[in-house]
Amino acid sequence: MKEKELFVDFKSHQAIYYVEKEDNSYEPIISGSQLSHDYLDDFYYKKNNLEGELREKIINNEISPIYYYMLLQEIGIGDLASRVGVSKRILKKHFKPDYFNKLSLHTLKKYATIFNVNITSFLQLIKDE
Amino acid sequence: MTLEEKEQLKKDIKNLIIEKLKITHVTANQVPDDALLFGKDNPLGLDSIDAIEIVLALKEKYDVRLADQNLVREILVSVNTITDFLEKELEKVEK
Amino acid sequence: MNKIIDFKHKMAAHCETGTLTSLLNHDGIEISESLVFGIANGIFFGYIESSNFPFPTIIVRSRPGQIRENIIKRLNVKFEKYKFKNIEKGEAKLDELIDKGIPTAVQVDFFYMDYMPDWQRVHINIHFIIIIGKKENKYIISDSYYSTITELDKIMMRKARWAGGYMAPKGFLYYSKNAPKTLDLTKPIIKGIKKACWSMLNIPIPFVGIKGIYKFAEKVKEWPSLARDTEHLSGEIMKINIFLEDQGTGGGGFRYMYATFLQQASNILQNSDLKDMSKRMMENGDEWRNISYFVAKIGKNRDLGADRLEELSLMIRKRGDEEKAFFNDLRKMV
Repeated sequence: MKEKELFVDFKSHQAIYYVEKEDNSYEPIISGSQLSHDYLDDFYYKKNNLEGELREKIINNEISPIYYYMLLQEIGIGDLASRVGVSKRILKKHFKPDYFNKLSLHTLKKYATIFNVNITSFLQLIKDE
Repeated sequence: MTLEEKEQLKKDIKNLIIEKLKITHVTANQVPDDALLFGKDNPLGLDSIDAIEIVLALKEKYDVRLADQNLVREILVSVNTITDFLEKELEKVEK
Repeated sequence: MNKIIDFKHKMAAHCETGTLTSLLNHDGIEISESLVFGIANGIFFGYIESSNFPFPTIIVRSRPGQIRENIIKRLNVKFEKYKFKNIEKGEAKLDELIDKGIPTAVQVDFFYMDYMPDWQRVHINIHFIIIIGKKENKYIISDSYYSTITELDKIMMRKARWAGGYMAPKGFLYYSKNAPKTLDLTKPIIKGIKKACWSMLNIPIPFVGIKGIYKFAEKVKEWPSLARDTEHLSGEIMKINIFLEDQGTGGGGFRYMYATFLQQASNILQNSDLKDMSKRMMENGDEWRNISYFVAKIGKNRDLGADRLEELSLMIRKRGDEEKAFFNDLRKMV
């Protein structure tokens, strides 16, 4: 693709792309991301909606904060199970509020590190009405 | 191939899988011969990307031709199926 | 103890090739990222369904680590590598290398790179950055995906280097042990091209290489049944754009960078056929980029019915056809 066609002016998200220069040579240039430039608002729209839906489900006692964060941070079940050190079968139990409420502080701390949140945010989610 | 040689081959295959896929939570001795390698809740937790690694590692170590993708699906079921396949291939070479 | 190494920061298309290239350049070995990529036959394709990912995923490059291994073999260069179960030992080793003035590449979970915009930060354990200094409780970093030298505090670095899960970094680090030299690239380029053709055409697994592209074309039509709802499907369809353009590929799913490599190869090998192939690969990259634009548009518009997915499937299928012909032709030229 020619440099002129590919280039996007978007400083918040830049990357290297390989393009065809005026002299027909192929070279790397810095350009903004076309996707972020054109569709970031749609990304946030979807994310905020998903957050809202999942929060509802927590309040309705349908899911636990573990499921909430796993979905929002887009972690695969196998990957998350491996990170926390349990089988996929056990992890699925942690998605249920009854099971979640019995988790040890040790396990909650592990999840908090993985999701890079404070343990209090788990409690905050359950508490919110 | 003698029974002893076959048992050694099984051990080698288990070690190859564990080494190539850098599995740390199980040792070779703990891998059952007939356990499913892939699929839900298998003991080794292998997935499709791991399948690529195993195929390439087997090719490299045993110099076997794995040309047919349907064949690959039949071979990569368990340590037993891999061993049986390699036994046949290695005996071909000896002849 | 504060320390900063005199290191030339550069952005690169891809973190693995970017870190390798920067470290080699730092040690006086002149080579570009695109040559590293091509010589190491980084170009690839795979359609992956795995519980390690939240949804089916496409991969457009070879297995992480393979580019480094291939460069070591083919260019006869040296990298010293370490892995650490013990966090203290892993941190001590990094600090020791920085104190000695040795820029060090570390493997990290991209999610913890808090200098990156939040919408880009996902859990990917195979990100590579170069540590070039430390200042109080922070590390100074050259990250190929960031425009300037930046910093990360030690606690985040610890989380990033010892994140668990799929392809966990386990404190992995490596550094260059090379002296300035001029490389003879003829044989490495030929080897890289041959291996690229082999990996796209000959691996007998139904979801990699050309077969992988066809598998993707077939399976994308089933994505509605895998998604929670239209919003989820929209997000996953638009992610195809991210995989092809925004997750460090140089554009067109690495195909633009590969075209650049082929152009350089044609000059080095004095092989004019390769120049034609570089143009063909650039055009192939354009078609992948058109797919990227297409999925962004249909995703945004929630225009995701069977007809539209059939259209997408056909566009992908055509890439399979073109790349099959391409790699079959390419292998005859070296």
